[in-house]
Amino acid sequence: MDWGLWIMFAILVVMVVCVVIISNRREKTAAQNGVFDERQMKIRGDAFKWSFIVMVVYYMAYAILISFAGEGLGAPELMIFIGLELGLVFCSVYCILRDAFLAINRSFGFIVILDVCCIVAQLVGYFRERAQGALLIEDGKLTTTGLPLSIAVSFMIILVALLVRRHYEKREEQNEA
Amino acid sequence: MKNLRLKAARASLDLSQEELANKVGVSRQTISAIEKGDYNPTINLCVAICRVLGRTLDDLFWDEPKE
Repeated sequence: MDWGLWIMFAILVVMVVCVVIISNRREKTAAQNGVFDERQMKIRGDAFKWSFIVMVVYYMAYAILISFAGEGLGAPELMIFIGLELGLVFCSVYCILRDAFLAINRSFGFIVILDVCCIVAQLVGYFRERAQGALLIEDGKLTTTGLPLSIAVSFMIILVALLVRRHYEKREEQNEA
Repeated sequence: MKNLRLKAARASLDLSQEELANKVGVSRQTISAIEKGDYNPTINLCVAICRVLGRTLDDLFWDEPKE
């Protein structure tokens, strides 16, 4: 195995260990931890609905582009996957900005660690492929090499939204005090 | 419309939003949203808040219609 696979394997092990440790710790805390309250459930419902609409609009736009131009902006696998990512990112950011992403008393730090691990793992995969000579753009079209990069970008957007929300939340807590 | 009566009742018991939220079983942001008037809670949540604060629904959530 080359270094890239070892790094990805190490990140996976770190993530699994984190999940096990934090899950065990949570079992000892209050009963309402880990559930969403009524306001959060309502917002999450809205988020699912709108993210579905965003995905439908993207796929319709993509279908129209294919019909008229005869080809998309990238490899079909990549373009289809970007539609899924778009829905996921929209749903996540919508929930984050309206305080419905984390359940009651869920750890913000844990989610950030998971997010950063995902970004690093995807970037390692991407640069590994590039180091092996894979091209991001070929004949003017994005290739599937862009898949890990697109996932990394998606998680980066989620990370930024989490940090921005955290910043405002801290300010709100200070104002309340 | 802001719910200043809820905020006053909470403050009179020296409870923070976080503490009230923990007692009621919701997130702090939900209590904040109710106080700001950004969210209309269900009757179940209203009752839970009233129980914790030792007030009635009328005290905290009933608005007399404006003439």
